[in-house]
Amino acid sequence: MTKTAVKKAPAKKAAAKKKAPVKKPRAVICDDDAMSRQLARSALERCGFEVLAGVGTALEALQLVMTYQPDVLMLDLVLPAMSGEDIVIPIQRGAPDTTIVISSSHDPSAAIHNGASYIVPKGQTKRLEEVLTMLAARITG
Amino acid sequence: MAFPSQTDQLDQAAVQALLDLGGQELLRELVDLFVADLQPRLDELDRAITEGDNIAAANVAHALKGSCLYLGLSSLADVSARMENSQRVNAQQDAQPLLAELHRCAENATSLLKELVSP
Repeated sequence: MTKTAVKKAPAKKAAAKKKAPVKKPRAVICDDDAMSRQLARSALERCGFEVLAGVGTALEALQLVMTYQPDVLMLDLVLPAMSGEDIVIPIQRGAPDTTIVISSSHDPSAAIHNGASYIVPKGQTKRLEEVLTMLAARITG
Repeated sequence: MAFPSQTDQLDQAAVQALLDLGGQELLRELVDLFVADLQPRLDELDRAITEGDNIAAANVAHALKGSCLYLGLSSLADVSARMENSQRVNAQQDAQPLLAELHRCAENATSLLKELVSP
């Protein structure tokens, strides 16, 4: 009986391991342009991300990131009221595991200096896919 | 899908990248969003320039530039970039000639995009 129990245990473990769903990396998009948000959503989903939300202001993005601690924030820089650059440092402090991907046609020097990890100029769709594919692979291990 | 005849103003590599990402469905969706936003943006730009609100004008031009780069609208992206720069750097300059050029390019861009996604 003991032998049987010992033999069955690994099989149960293997079955449980097989059934475990693969956890998708999660992302938030912040861009005040609806078209750019839609494009970012498509690129993220194609690369295996779950998009938690797409918002148009830096304040909304900051609140979402602090609450949900997503794996990735795709962030435009020129935004109404508060700029994207303004939330890079608070996110670095409050959500240190969130990787910030700047997607902007604005000069990203300040955002890089503040700690943004990746810069993808607007219009570079292929490059965006490359970066997101690499990040998804790194996050899911 | 056939590219429009006036290909000198449309970056085919940019359009192809969008098609590779999400096919004709995504391209159509992005074009619809762009076209829907274009007139309100032009209205906002006109208002900002008339009222001398340089920051608002520069921000509208900047947003327009970003969308144009994704869709491969090279001419409109270029004029938008010049408008943004002139409003940020040299705000006292007469913006009307550049604004007229931007309107012309926007009209042309709309035609190009409609041709691009027409069945």
